Amino acid sequence: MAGSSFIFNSKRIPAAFIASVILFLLTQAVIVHAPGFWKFCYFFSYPSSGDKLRMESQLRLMPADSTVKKVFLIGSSEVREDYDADLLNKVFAEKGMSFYNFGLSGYGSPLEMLYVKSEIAAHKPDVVVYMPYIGSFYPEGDFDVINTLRSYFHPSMIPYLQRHLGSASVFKKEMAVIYLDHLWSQMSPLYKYRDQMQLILTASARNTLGLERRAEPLRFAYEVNQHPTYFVAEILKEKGAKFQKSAMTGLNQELFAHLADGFREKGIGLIVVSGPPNPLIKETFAKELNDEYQIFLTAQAKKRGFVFVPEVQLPVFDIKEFIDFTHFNVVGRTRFTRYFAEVFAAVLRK
Amino acid sequence: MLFNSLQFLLFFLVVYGLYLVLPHRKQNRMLLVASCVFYGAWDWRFLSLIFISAGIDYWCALRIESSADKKIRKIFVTLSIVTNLGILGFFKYYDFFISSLQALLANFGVVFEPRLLHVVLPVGISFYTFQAMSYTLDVYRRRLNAARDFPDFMLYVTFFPQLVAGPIERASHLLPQVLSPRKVTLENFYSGSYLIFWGLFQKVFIADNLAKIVEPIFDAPGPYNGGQVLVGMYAFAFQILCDFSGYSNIARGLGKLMGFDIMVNFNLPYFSMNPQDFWRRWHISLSTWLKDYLYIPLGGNRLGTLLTYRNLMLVMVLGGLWHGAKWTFVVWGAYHGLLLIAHRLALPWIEKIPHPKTKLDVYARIIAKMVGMFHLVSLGWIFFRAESLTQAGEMLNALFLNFSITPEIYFAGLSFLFFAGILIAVQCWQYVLADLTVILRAPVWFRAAFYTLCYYLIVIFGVTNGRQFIYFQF
Repeated sequence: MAGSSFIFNSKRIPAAFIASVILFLLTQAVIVHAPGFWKFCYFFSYPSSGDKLRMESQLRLMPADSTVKKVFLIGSSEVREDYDADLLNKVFAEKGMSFYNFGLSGYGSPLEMLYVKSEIAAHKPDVVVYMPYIGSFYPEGDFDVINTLRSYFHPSMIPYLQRHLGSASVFKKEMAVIYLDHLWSQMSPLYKYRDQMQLILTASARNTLGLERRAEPLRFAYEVNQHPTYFVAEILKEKGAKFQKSAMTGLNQELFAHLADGFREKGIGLIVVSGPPNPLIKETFAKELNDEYQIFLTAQAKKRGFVFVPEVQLPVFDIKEFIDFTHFNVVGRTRFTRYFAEVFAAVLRK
Repeated sequence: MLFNSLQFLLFFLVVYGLYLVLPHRKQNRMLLVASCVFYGAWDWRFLSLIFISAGIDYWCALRIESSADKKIRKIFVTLSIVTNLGILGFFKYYDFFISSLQALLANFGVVFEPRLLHVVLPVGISFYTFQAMSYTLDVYRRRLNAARDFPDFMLYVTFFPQLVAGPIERASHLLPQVLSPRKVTLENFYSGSYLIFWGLFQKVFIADNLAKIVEPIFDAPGPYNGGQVLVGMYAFAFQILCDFSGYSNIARGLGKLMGFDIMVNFNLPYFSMNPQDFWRRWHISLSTWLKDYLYIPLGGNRLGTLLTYRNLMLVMVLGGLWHGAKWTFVVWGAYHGLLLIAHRLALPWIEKIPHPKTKLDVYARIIAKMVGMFHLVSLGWIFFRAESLTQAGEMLNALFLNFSITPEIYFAGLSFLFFAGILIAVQCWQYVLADLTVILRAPVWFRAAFYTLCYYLIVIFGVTNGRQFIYFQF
């Protein structure tokens, strides 16, 4: 045996180290139970980069009042930008309903919604409104599932990944980092949101020093419409193959069915709304793909008993109402939100 | 394989686990293999280069020791020096000297278009060549016996904690530790763990965050604002200190865990009061190497004033060039040479200044000297960091002639204080108590609170995308 095996027979314990670890975990536990912390985070966070943190902040700050019906809007950034939750809350205030916008940057795929489900489950929503778009099921050419899992991983995804993408996909080197990251995130909420914490603290410092003024939380990430040349360039670049069928399509279709069944079993109402597209986006992919996507959701709605609002039922939106191919600007958002309010009211009446 | 990477953590856990259970001789063999794996992870092609360089040094040292003939001893020490400097010169300076020659000849209208080789610079070459050279030089000077076991000698050259960015260990200090059984004590384990922790904190919290302030300033094409240059200068001064001393601390910590004592490479350099003091505190392994193997053999300060100045300038210019094949490093070295000369010139006048009468005067004078010296050193960093002499000139011009503070510069300054503040506080404490291990001697409650604060800062602000250490490029 080399040297001395002091580690095994020493009586001196590293008290400062042990105390510091306990202090670190305890102080975090105190911090994350303080409503003020989540209010601070939500106020100074940024839509898009801070979506996950903003979702948890809203969940943590949710009042415990069980008489108010909770409606969670979930999906991609399209949900974040297209729904005005404040407007919906005004419209349905007298009906005792509260709307929460949990749109997260990404593709809004059922794979990502599995992560969302793990986060919202404990808060028992009454209704979930899910708004996918074609990219949620038919990924873009440069799609890499690793990038999605880096942001939205949950262990329950592993069997689905294995089944549809092969066993190698869950044993990749990059997945080891994702698993470790998930483990640390469970132990330390500050670690989970470390990237956003930096931005939040910087925004707070700049606000305090008068370098920026923030009167209320930022709600939307995109404000300026893309220049028309952007759309021309994108259409030329995509050559009609922006979205494609792949192994991810099968994975997301299976996960969608699993999610829908899960909501039904828990007595949570599900409304699926087909994401309103910019007319120009139709020029970037094959029409047959969109038809297949709509047929799939229609069939699932019949089989699983949820409300589906297909694309044909949506009002026609002008390209001027969009920031880009998928996100509304303030004009489009207001019109779409009012339309959705009517649909929701109609569903309530049934 | 960066120290601040998951890959290195897994590597070291395996190495350390084996280290604890193996006997001495097998420990050495295992460490040699581990060091080869560590270096090979950077670029396996250059493993052969280290073996060739170290092999020649090992053989030369044996020939030197076995011969009583001065001429033969000189031949072999020259062979060792030429091999090491030849390898270093080829890989590091070939393109630089050829391009510089081309530019010089162009000034005289001579067209010279040589083929540049764009040689890949092997990681750590500046460090291990100097470390290996010091061995043969010490054997030549009869300060050291030649090693008789090639694998043990190879371990001295390639010991992974200090292989790629120092400290440049002397054979008389490290080789006996390789050759003798080492004791792994609890105290070493704790102090080693603390050094690793503090080194990682310096790197991922301080240095890499200060880099985010430095890069937009130094990587911008100009024109520059003086306030912006000032903040960038301060931020780089602490970035390079924390990056390099952080690495050295991790190296020392890893060594301590295994019972090795690796030399201190930084001793509160920004608390120095004059240029000579600075070079006794900054990159100590390099400055002592240059003193022992270049400055003193050139005559040191024994050959009169002018030759002393010549020796100082030559050593500092070569020290600057050691850092990299760019004229900015040469100018940086020359600048420090000028500071050392100026200090010597000013000494007679300095000694005539009346002694301070009160304690306040004493402290005020000390602080004034430190602040003054810090600023002189920081001005030099502008050359060190700048992409070209032109950029350095423009920045200095802005600093002195185009100075203003905008809200954004003010915010960058505050950010600098936020990231560097904790280091400044700790180092003030270390300086006042003249003890680099003050944190380890603090009460348990203080250390617990300090570590907790560091955890929060690392978790929230730590840069974890594996930014390379600055000195790896040397």
